[in-house]
Amino acid sequence: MLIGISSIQFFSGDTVDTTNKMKDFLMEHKLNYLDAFLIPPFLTGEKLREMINKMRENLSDLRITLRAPSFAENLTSILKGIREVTLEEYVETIKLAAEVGAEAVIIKPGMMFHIEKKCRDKMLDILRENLGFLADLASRNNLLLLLENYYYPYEVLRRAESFSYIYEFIKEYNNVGFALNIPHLLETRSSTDYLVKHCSKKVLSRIKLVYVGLRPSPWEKSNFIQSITHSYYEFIKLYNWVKPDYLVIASIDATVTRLLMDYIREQL
Amino acid sequence: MKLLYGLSSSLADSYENAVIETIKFAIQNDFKVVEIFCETPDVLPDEISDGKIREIRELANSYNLRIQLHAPFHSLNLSSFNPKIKNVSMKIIRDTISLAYKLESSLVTLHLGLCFLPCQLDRKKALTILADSITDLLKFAKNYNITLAIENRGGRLDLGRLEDLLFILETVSHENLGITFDVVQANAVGDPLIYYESLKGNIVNMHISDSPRGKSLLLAVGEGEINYRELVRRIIKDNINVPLIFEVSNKDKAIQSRAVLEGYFKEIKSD
Repeated sequence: MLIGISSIQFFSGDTVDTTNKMKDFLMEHKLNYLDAFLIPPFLTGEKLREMINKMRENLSDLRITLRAPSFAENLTSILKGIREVTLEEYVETIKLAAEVGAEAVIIKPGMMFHIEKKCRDKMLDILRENLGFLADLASRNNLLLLLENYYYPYEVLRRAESFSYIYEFIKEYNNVGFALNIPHLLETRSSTDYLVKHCSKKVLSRIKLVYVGLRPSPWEKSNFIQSITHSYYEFIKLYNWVKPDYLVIASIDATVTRLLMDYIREQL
Repeated sequence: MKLLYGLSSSLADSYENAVIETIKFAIQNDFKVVEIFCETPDVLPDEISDGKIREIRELANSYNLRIQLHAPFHSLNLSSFNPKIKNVSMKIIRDTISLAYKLESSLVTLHLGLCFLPCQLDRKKALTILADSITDLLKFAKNYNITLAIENRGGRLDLGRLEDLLFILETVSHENLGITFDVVQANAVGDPLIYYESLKGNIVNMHISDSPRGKSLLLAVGEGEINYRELVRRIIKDNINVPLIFEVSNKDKAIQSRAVLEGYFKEIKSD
């Protein structure tokens, strides 16, 4: 299992400064894996190309996964314009991943609000079609496509049951799996025990990447420092059953990243 | 003065024909305004057919029913730092304004946006982006003589707290900009009466439902803890004669809510 950090820690700042900080942090902690979260305009494709080229001057074995823009993005919106922009961003991320030599692309499958739930079958057909298209594109570029769970009540991939449900959409694509976000899972009042108990081995085997960080979300500003323990403990429990290829420690706070890394390295 | 009652099309049972169902219910039950929620399949702003537009307009006109629009808001973010998301959100709102014009409506309600990580770390910049978006939309709306009403919101990821609205009102001073005061959303994060007092000079529309304190449920007026009697008293005192749109969980609750508000109104007027 490859242990790395998320670029979210170096969220803002100019490109040169951010690149140096990322590189220094990775080297200081003897890491060679970065999960880069595209957040335009802070981290765009153009900036990422520049950063990676620069970092590889010192870290020639640098390995990368790429997280597509994922805030308001929604592949299952009833609004065609939102779906189209989301798909466009995901396609661009896959192409960028291939270009910079990344190994996987992480996306958010979608959100279904009140109206989308009322026309659920239609929206799921659209999701199936979009996922198929993205899976083929990723496959042609030798990339894994990983779907990440979120905790908001309207998320398509949220609780343990939805992993099994979405698995039916992706099972025919060997390059498609899950990026399990443990803080998000915990926010749904679930746990890794529950996930293991309610998902088949086939479903669990598709968990290729795991995110640990603060609750409620590594992608939000959070002061819930005690949740370091929750995140770490849940990962250790999961590791008895699931051996992901990638573990990403994700926090905007370097101290949180260091603490989680120390705990996890001690246990593994 | 009479209170002007209306219904949101989000009350409809059918999602495929929500607007016509709501208009017919409004006509049968003597509501004067229908607020069309433009996120149901029958009225998506960039997909609605000319035939449907004609049908809505003719039906509303023949019964002297006022039509106003609520723009789509799920997955939209006018304050996004990401230009692609901001631009698609702007396009959807512009499409809604065009639709309002075709429906001979003069009011479009919209939400301000969402506050994800970039905004959580730099809210001031998010509000500046938002002010620019609203300014552009107002220029567009002015061509059609349409008022844009920004709505207060109480969700954890929403922009739309009292201070956000006051910032926008101050930064984007414009004759076509107003407030849709959502009472239950104010109740979710504070005291609706404080919101009312701060915003009353700009309120052009209201969303009405009830809820326990600190929550934003869609109960009928009288089923929650909001002090509607006092709110009605202040509306009368301030001569705020704007549509009161029921955004409750079903149509029966709208009728129930109207009866309660009308009871308060008569009581207060007779005092």
